[in-house]
Amino acid sequence: MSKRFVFLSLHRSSLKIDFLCLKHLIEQYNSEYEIDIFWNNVDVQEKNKVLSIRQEISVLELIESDWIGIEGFLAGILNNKTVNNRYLFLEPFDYLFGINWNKNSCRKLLLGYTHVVTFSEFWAEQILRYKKGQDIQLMRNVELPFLSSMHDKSFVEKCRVKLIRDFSVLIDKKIIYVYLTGQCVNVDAFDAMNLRQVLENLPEKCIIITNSIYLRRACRVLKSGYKDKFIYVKENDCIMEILMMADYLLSNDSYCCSLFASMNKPYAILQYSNNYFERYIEKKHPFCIVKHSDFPDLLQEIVTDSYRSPMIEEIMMRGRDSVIKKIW
Amino acid sequence: MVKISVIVPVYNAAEFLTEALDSVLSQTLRDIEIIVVNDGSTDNSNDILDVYKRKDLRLSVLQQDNKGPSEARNKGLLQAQGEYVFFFDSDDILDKKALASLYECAVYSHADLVIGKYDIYNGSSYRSVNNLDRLVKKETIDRFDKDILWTFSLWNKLFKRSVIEENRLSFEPVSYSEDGIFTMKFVFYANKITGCNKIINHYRRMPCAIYSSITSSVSEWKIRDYLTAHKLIYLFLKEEILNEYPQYIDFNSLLCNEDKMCQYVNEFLKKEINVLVNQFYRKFWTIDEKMVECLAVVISNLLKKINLDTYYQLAADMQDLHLDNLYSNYVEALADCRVSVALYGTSERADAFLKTLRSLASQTLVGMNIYIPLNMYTQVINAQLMHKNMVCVDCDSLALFYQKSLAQTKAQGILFTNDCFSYESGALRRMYLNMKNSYAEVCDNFIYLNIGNKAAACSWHSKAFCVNHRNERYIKRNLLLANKLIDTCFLKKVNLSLRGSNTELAEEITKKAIYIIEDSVNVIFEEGHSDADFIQYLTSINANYFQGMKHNHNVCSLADCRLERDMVEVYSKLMPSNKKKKYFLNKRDIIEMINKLPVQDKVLFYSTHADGRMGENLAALYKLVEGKKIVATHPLPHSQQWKLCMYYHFATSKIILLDDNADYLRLFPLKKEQRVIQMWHRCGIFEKFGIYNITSTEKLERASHIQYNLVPVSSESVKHVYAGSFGIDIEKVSALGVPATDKYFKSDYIDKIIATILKKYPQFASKYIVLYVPESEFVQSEMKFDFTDLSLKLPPNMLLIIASEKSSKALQDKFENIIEINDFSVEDLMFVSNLLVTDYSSIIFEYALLGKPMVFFCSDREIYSHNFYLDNWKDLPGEVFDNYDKFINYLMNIDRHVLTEKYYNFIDKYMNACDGHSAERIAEMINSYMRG
Repeated sequence: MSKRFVFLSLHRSSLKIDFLCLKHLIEQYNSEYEIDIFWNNVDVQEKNKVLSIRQEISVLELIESDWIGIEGFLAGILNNKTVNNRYLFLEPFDYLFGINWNKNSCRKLLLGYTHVVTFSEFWAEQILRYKKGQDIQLMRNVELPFLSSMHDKSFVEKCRVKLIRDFSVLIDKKIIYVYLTGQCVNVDAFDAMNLRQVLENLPEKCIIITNSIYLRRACRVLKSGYKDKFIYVKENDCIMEILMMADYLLSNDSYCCSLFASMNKPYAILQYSNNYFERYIEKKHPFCIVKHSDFPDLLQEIVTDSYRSPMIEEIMMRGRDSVIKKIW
Repeated sequence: MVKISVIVPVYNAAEFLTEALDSVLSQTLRDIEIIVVNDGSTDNSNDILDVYKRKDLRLSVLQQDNKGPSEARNKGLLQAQGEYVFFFDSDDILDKKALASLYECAVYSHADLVIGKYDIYNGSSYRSVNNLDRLVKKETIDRFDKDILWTFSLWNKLFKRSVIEENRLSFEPVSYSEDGIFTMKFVFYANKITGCNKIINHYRRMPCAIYSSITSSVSEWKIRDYLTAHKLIYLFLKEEILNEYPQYIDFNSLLCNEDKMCQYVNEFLKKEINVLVNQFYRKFWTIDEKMVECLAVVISNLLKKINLDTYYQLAADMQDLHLDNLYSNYVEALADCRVSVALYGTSERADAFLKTLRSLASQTLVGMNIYIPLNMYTQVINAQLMHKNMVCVDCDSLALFYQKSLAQTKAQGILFTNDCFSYESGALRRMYLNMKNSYAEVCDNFIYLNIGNKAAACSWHSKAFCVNHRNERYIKRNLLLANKLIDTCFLKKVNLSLRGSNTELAEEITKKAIYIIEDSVNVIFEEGHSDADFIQYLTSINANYFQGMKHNHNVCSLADCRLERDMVEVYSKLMPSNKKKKYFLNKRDIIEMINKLPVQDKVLFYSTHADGRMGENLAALYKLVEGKKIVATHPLPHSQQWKLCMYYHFATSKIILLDDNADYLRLFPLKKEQRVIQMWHRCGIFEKFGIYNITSTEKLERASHIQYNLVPVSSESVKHVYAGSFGIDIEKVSALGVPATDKYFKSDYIDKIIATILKKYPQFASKYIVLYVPESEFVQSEMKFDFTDLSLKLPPNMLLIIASEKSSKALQDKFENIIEINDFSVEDLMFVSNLLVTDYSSIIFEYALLGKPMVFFCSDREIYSHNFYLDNWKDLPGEVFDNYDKFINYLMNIDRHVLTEKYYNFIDKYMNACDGHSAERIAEMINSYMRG
């Protein structure tokens, strides 16, 4: 029987990688499906020019369709008469770390949803503690779609081929991914850094990939010949492929760090833009975060395996049940 | 010594020469000389120059055999006597105050070089260019400012002639970038460079948004000239930089230690690579393979010279290319195709097919191949369009052709199209990048219409993307294929079959694909000029979805569900008053209480004219509307008591008729059954209004208009303007006509007015009346309208009536054949007149309905592009003059006062819904809604 899904992500900060992985998993599980995806268009308001998400959603409400949201709050969009299932994928997104947890904030977070899918026991417990009185079903021990997709060798290979096609220099290289969010907060973070030395000290087999425009700017002292040691990738381009293929991660993003922590790959949390996640880690686990100014030393430590990646319960996703089986 | 010498090289520029020279001769700075160098033109440029030479003594013409613009400019320089020199191109348009502004800046700053701004003129409208904004705001510009590297052009700069002479500067004999060499040398010889934050030049780029790159060909000598020019500039810069930093002997060590110079040189190289890639290399399939190889080598060598930061800046802008590994021959490019296009066509429509193919052949995406039906091979060869990236597929039917193309392609995306569409030159590249960067499986694009070779959005199609079918099955996207780039892996993976029609394929795709929608890619429908043509096409290809959809026809009932308010949107945009306690209750509570009252069967006529009278539109409807009518015409501001009264009537009237803004509407939501009809007090589209001419804040403006259910307008083509100005759905705007214009169709009314006027002014009866309605307040000073002279020149039977809408008195003296009348309105005087003269009065819309000729005497044509919707003065329904003598000549010659094609086009475009029955039509809708 054909099943219809609406994927919803209303915030620019969401990476939405899990939607892509989820779609891949759905395709494999059953070919009878229909999908509508809305992302990043919560700001769209111009009439007669671009899509109005509200208009579309008001139509989709009438259709037999399950809703899956990442970091999207349905309360302002859907009315409570909607009969379909509405799942919130409780990924470790930045906002979770900024919530002042209590009954009210939990109610606000879950408003509009019928199910919460948790991938981490820590957040499952947190929800259980504060959701009292709310008629919402908690789904525990579920595997994050991204991590499920990593079991599919053909999918991973496809991603590898795509990445290699765009960056042939990556062949046989160990990839260090420096992924930073909130860049405009700290524009001159890398200006004083001697990047020539950093890259020259890097082992031959290693290469840095970054989305940081300011790390790129610091490369103006280097000739373009250094591109076999350093790759800049615009914004979130190829992010899924890079996250799959990368060997090391240096980031201030909760989602990326969670993936690496859950995959047991080496990673380090950088203190860079003072976002919710950084603030939370600094407060709760002060020894697990590294200042961005220590970037060169950290880089050396991580590639020589002398840096011990932090073990933080909040970002460990150990669920093993198939998300498809839970929601189909 | 004259202040400025303007040097204009001319080569076969007859088409635009008149306009260009007029713009130079009408400069406000009069103390100039114009040196035109005719570079061996073979068209009638020389004849035009002869006329201008006789007309204005400041203009001199030099002749030479065709030797190129460099030689022509050098010749002009030898002749120049001015303190400054300005180089002007014979197809551009100079801003009226351009030379005055540049000269003023030069004198004020004691500058040798002044850099100004320019915009792009496509023959009808101007598009601003912002890349120089930072530079031109500077009082002193550093010679090593990186921004100078991006403005090599001459026509936005003023050069001091003494600097040219002292340094023996001249133009190098290269055909490309010769201006760059001259400018850069001058920059380093100049003692001071300053910016001028004014638009100097309107750079003409023909209205070929659709086919721009087809005409610009690439030749080997052009590339070689460009490389030579840049080599010269680079060597010159290197020398100058070494002079600036004498402590370094070696240029490389200088760059290693001086960050500023390193960045400057990198910027220069970045620009060079940019031009080489975007202007030459991207025309990959149209240039010789040897030249492709040469270009790839040159670009790769340049890429090695730049730093890593600049490299990735370029790479981010050129994501469709492998900068590390540029294709050096056709085979490499074909092996790494990013996009395939399957273009189906038949020999019966060979011309249309070739048009589409031509647009595809000029795409800037290098990694692209095109599949065409084998039976079109001969036509393509004959049209000299066959390129190495075109592959013939042998099959008869469309479905089979698409199927075979899909089977053959190894590209990441495929576009199935046919001969009814064409693609703007960058369309495929943008589609590919959009798809690549968003993980989308389908990149869906809005359809544009080809109106005079200019792409205009198909409003119905963009609406189709956000249509709200509350009671119908929701279908995500339309079923058209020609506007969709589809991921080939997705097509193969989900095992979609290409069956009978392309719409079936599209339907299957819509269910399973991840879509992105783009409105920045120009996919152009070529089989018609209107939304209706497009819909007809969709119906003909059996796109059943569209048959079910309601076309954006005018509504004929106020009960039509399309007029209903979207309450989610209304709530989000309303601006209720603050909960501030003023009396015994706060204002918001009072309004909420009143709003709970039930709706009554009454019609509210709300108007706020300063004279306390109802607007003409409302007055025309008042007589015809039945039932209980409430008239509220208090001028603003309203007293507290009147406000309370208004809250009550707005909350309880079933129909609310307005002719201007009503702030009450932004305070509380009306009830579902209430209808608000905005009878805007103007007809046609003239001055910008609503959101586009905000008097308060945009939020307030939007809140005021969001509750409108219906806005009757004067024609189909102005609907989108009203919808945009009020920020409402276009379906709520209907071309029902404007009630106030009905009187222009009633002969008894017109006769009555004429009789009244003639009774007071019997002399009008035997005269040819010219009605002059100036809007400009500076009639005498700015326009140099010499009434004494005019009075002498007017033919004996002609009488000029001045009827200004402004209160200022235009006429200082008394004349026999020129009189000023204030005791009749302009509207009334229109009936007795034979000809209307105006500058930019909005009465042209009403006057057009009388079927009488009009003429425009505008001192500043630009006003039509800056303040008004009528952005094209060529659209005006009569001749336009900015020269007094020419205007007088026209006025004296009554035979020339005829209705032209422009006039009929104007009526058709702006007033076609006004037929004398507008009030009846709208009143009937109101009455039938009131009757339930």
